[in-house]
Amino acid sequence: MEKKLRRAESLLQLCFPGVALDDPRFDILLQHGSLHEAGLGTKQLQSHVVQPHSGTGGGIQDHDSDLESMVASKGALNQDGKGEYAYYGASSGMNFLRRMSEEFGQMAKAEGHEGSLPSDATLRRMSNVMMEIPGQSDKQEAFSEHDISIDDLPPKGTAMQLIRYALDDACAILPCVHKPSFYQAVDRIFDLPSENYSTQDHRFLPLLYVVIALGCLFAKDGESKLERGGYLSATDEG
Amino acid sequence: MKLACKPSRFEQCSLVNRYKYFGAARQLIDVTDCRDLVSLQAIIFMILFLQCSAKLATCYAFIGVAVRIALRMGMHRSFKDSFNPIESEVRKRCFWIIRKMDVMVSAMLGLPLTLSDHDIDQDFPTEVDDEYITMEGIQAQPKDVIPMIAAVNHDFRLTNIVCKIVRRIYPLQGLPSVERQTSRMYRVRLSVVRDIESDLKAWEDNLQPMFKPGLDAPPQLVRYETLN
Repeated sequence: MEKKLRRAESLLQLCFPGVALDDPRFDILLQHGSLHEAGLGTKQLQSHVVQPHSGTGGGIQDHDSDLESMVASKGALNQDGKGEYAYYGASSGMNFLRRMSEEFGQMAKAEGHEGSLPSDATLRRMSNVMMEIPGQSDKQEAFSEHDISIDDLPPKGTAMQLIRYALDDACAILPCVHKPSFYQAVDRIFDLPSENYSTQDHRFLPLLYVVIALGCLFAKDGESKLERGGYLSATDEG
Repeated sequence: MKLACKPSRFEQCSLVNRYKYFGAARQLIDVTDCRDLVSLQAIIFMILFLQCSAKLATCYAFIGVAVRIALRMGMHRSFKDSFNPIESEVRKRCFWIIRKMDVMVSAMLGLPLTLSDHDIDQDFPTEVDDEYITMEGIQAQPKDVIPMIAAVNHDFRLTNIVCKIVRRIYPLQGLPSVERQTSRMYRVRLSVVRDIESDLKAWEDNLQPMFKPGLDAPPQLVRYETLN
């Protein structure tokens, strides 16, 4: 009903620009067939008249105003000390934050809210994270090759719990597996000896490893060294 | 995506072991020669892992690889009778998930989108829970049970609106620019903004009531409301 009402209002504005539905003379004008005269005395903004589903706003360009974007059209091209480049386009979060700092940083400082916007140093750190520039505590070997075998998989109960964290929590809105088939394949991996794996089972192994890795990220427990020490100290440890 | 904020009691969940499992998966897959669905699913999970580990630059590179693999496998096109029901539905889901991740990460980094809307004619996934999709066919979902994939499809439609925003509010060319002291700015028509606002309103109006925030809902639905 609401949709229909909105459409009717748009149509009315198209045919009789300037007519207000809550005009007290509306019924009288309608009865006398002189609705077109109703808009003459009113001052309605023409820019509120929008053609349905108009992508370009063609017919109302003369009355259409332009908004100036606050972000630079060219984006930002950063370079680190090693000569590696990273480009952030107009729609990037980095560009937006930098612009906010430039436009409103002085204002915030003057009003005593200096900490409310990211400083240049903070922006550089954020840029480093996005560009993955190694910091002092970054361990480059985090993603390096590890020797891992089937025996390094966690026990089945633990693995199933981690898989549930990955599929139900991490992938709540990104369901890229068919769960019954997935769990059947997991059962095969744990129930069969590794020498009896088929080509399909071998192909399934990387998927299983990375689902368990993702499950580790989303696993829940309230009491542990990580909870007490915090995430940064844990990454320092490696 | 939210970063994992809760630690685990599992010994296997230490940081070293997470990266060990990830590294093992990465070793077992050759991303330059991957054309099967299971390997592509593994790459999607790698992308999620990297996003949740704040490795956006590596994540962006993997998304590019995933998009190219999906295109080589023809997942951007609709093939109604070439696959069994499970494979057909998984293909649709994987394609739209890769598309969503491509749009979101590209928008966050301000980089161009890989795929245009004009290059896609794949259908959205069928709105039926996993247990009703079998090798023999897709059974009807019971009427009193809302499939969670309906929320996922709403998210994919929202992704299309994000594409429009990136294309029309942050275009590279074609708009008058204003020279400022330090940088070149550009203008956006108010009608474009209103058009996008009306798209967002229409999207919200089409949401089923249980997916709208603010109502009492079971925890699983609250998760969907929050993520949407």
